[in-house]
Amino acid sequence: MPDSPDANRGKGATVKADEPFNLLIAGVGGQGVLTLGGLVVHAAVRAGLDVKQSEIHGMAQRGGSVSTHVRIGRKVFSPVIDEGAAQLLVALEKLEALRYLHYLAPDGLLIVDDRAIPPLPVSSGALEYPPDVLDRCRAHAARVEVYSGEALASTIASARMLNTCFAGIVSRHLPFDESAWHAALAECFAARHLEANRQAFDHGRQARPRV
Amino acid sequence: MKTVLSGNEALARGAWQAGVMFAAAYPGTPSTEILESLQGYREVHAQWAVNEKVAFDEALGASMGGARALVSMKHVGLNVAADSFMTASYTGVGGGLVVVSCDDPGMHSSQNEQDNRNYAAFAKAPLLEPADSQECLEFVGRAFDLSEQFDTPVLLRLTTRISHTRCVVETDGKRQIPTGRGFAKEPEKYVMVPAYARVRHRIVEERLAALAAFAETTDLNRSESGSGDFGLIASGISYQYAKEAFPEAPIFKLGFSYPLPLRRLREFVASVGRVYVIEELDPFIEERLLAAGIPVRGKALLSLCGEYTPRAIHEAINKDLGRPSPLASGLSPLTSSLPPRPPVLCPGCPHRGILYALNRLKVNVMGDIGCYTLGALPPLLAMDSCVCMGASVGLGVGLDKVSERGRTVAVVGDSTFIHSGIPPLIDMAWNRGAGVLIILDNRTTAMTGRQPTAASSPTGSARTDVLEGAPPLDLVRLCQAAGIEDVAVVDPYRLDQVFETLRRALASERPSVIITNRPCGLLATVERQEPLAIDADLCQGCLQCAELACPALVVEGDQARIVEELCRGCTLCSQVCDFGAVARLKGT
Repeated sequence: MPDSPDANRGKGATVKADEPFNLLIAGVGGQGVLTLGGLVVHAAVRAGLDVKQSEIHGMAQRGGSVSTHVRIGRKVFSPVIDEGAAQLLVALEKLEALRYLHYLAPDGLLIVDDRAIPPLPVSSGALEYPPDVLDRCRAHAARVEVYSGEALASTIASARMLNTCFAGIVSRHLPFDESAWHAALAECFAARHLEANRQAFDHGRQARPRV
Repeated sequence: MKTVLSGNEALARGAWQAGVMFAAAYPGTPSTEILESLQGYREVHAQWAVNEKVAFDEALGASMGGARALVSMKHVGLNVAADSFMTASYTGVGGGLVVVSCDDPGMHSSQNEQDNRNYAAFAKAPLLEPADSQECLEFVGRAFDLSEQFDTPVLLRLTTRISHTRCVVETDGKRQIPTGRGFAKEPEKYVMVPAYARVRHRIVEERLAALAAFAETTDLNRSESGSGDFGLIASGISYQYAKEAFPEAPIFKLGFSYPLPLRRLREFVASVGRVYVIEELDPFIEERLLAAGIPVRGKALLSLCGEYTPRAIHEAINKDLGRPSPLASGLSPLTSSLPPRPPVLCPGCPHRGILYALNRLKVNVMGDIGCYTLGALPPLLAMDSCVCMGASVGLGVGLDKVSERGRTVAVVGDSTFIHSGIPPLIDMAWNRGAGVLIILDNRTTAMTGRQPTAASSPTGSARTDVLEGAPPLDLVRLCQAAGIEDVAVVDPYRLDQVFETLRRALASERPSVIITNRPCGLLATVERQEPLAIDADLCQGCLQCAELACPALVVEGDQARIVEELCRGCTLCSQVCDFGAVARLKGT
């Protein structure tokens, strides 16, 4: 695991000219998955790159599984990431990490919040939440960084900004200048929420994975 | 100016730039944001209509009035508007008329995945298919020009991955000054009685021939040179997938995909040799090429169902060529071994109590399209059919006529009822069905993002786009006027009232309507009630409360617990508890 935020920047996450960088973000409706993707999109545009973000609407507010595909490069055609082709998978809930793990490239990095949000079949007692989610993630992913969203949330203005905090974590793996990210924050958030989101972002950028 | 826009937002921007003056739509994923975005441009009359046919007619009327007009809908919406579309092709337009259909290959949020390119051929109208947000912005302006040049409605077809992909768009942001010239009386053109329509049909056929000639020269279609021993033909999102799979291959990109530029495609195929057509869903392009004697391959190796991916295209073509597909195969999905995470009714949803009661009463439920369709999933299991908008009411009439008395209930939301449930309600009264219709009136079109309905009032809506002074539709009086004598209004948070009203209606020999009176909990005007809690000492672990499928209620071990932050205080769980174990937090 990196000791400083910058040690890992660009490593295994280079945006190449001929091969877009694929980022898949997954989570639960209401966690801000699409907003997190939007921050990356705006930062990529600021960095002068082509970018596409594909998302599925309609069910986002009903607590269902939500994902968004972000592809960044000199020129991007398909808005959709092929299975096994995501260099980076970010899961804001650990069961959702497993659900989308087959999208991760063999040498890809998984960033996962270790929180468990039980889906209705679990909370209603019909099914069990798998007890070994993180072990299974580690068994299948080349590299895994686990973060405690709960711990992170306690240090930022509002737990609702945890997605912005994760944008800070993601930012360490993408070769954009900090100024591109701050411009993206200004584009994505209303002025009255901007400062708190900036702090949440900076906090994520400094955060270290759980050992 | 560089900006990031979804296909839907870009289309709205392009329409505004092209001087659109009127737009109408009924909400439906993945099309909804087109009208929502147009409502952000104050120069445009952009309004929600009660259904897609009404929206179409309004846009056609505005077009007859000389204004550029746009109507947008999801793919199945065009079924509702098809009657108008077929004959609008005969009347032609005044100002440009663009019909936007957002198809949903893969059925991310739809009941079928029909391919609406077929409607262009059916109506003999030109078809444009943008392949990204930039083209959404540009093509809509081209579509208005074409509409006026050829005197025809133009079908602009998007798919989910075009509508809901955000990408970089370049635009000068200038609006063309509309030149609305007012309505001109032209009965031979606009009055489609047989004598006039026969003349117009000949004009339609001549127009189609002229459009086919146009397709041969327009830059909306282009041949991109490349290398290798095969070529590709594609339109819309399939073009992006094809380019991703085989960036070096020569490709013919169709932006204007009906009528097809057969001469140019014949030349392309002759120059390349082996050519594959890449198109999701129906072999719309392939069949037309084969019929013209142009040898191509497509559906022999690629699926008729669902969405494509670059990898699926790569593998299928390499297999057809007897070559290995060198892309690394990843981990197989673990999904089947995981608990699913389906979308669920929100905590405090006013639909929940009705669905719970229907489950308990073991009736046959003809369902409809809306959030309440989620009640089909366990444990509620309270929907036995879902076909299309408004179908529940007619299905209920038919099922009731052939079933034992008191077994049939139709369930429809307010917006869906207003969309297409009113004619079958009149039929239910007229044909003396004895079934029960429940209208779940939550004052909004919730599933697509809480757009107002005709029954929303300006103060009762979450949104500001309900027109001031528009009287909310009175559903009770509407049902009574239709001839339903037994109309009851129930509080869906009162299970005793719900069960009693339902039992009485089921026992009745007359058709009856039950209307619920609680707004969607997501509306900003709805106040959150005090949360409830379960007393662990009183809880017997019967888990009757878990049958409500409430996300705020969690089963832990053999007891239930309420997650305070999620609970909206609807009290249904306390009403189903036989042991009095659930009570409000405050005051206990």
